Amino acid sequence: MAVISVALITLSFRGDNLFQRTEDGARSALSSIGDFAGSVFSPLTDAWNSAWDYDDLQDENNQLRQQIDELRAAEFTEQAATAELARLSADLDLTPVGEIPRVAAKVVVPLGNFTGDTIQLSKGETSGLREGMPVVVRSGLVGRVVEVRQERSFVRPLTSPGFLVGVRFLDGDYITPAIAQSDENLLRAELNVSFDPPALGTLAVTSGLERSVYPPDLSVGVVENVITDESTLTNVIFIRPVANIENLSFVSVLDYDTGQ
Amino acid sequence: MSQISLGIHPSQLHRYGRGVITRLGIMAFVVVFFHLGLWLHLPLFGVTAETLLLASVLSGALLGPVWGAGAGFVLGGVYDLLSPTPLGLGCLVFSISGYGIARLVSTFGMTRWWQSSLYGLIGLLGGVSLFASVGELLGQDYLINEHFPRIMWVQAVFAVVLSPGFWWMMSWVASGSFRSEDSRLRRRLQPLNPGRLT
Repeated sequence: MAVISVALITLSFRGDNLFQRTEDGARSALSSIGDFAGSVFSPLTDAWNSAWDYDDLQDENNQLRQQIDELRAAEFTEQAATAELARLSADLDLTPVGEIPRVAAKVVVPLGNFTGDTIQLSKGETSGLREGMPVVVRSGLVGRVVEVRQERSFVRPLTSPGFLVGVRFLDGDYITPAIAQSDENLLRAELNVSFDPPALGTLAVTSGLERSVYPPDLSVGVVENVITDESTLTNVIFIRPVANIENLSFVSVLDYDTGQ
Repeated sequence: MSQISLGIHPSQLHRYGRGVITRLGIMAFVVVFFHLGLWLHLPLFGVTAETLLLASVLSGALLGPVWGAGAGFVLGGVYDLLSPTPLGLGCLVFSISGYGIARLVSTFGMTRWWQSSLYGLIGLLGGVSLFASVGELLGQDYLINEHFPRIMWVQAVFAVVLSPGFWWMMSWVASGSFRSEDSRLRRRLQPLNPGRLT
């Protein structure tokens, strides 16, 4: 059994096509059993979760109400900004983010204690997904597709340690790489002290540099903190992602041609 | 002192009846069904009970190393299909856990039902630690993180609370009866040697 287990691990790492298809089939079958079992026990599990999560749900409701108010206020500003962006994009012959072909995909909610550092999507190769495609929600960038199977795919989220994205701050013209940190789900960017650091709360968007894997002007995050490092003469900028990576239901996968 | 663990070797299967395989299969299905439908949706402090591992461990405790490893292999395979870790990791770790606990029981014995909680605790914590450690060695660097200590202590609670129930179920797999193996042996031996089993 140990030998078979090691053989399975080896095949799993090699990514053999037939093996992956068999694995996907078994996962689908198990998922069907899980759905049925979940519906059988749902009265009990619902009661348990409402008893334990009542306070969290109340907090979440309050946060959502606040966000609705903020969104209503921002709606008018956004309309004007969208019109301006469309005009500028037309002038510069750019494809606005809204016009990039996209595939909507459902996020598979992970269960269990070891859920992994990737986000699983319900769509894969058959829906036209490819490795490297940017994944977004309405508020901004979520991550990038890193593995594609027949009917599912995996996304490396923006907050995954080491995730790299070029950003531009809206209150300045400079472009700098931002790297996800291993703690607190923040991205870290560095800027020479000769440049004025961005103000707190400034929006950081994708740089849109030539051959970037992300389209330009996708919201990445807002500046949460700036610390000056005297030893390296840099301003260290901490960016909080705007997309709520922890609570995703649906995402859009952009069919963006990097031109590479 | 009576030994509850049966330690059935496949070559001795005819002595216990092929019903063990059937009952083991039914048990595996029931455990998977409850795991998928119930336990995965009943988190305690954000941690769910690793009932597939617990069933593997107690299979080993009651049925012996070979069957413990076998049950661990099958249930570990199901666990692999539920988690993003490479297929085979759960098979390997659950087999080792089932086998290891069986060896522990054969060394120290299991004479009372409450000892199932002790073996469940050792097996579950050992199995989860082994799973995370081997996984990390295989490049799954998210397995041991800041939540890991919380996962461990909540698993300890689950092991103590759930093990007697799983032990009761495993005693059915081993003997075909929900009556505990301990009391069955007492009833069988008392007429021959009253007062020996205390």
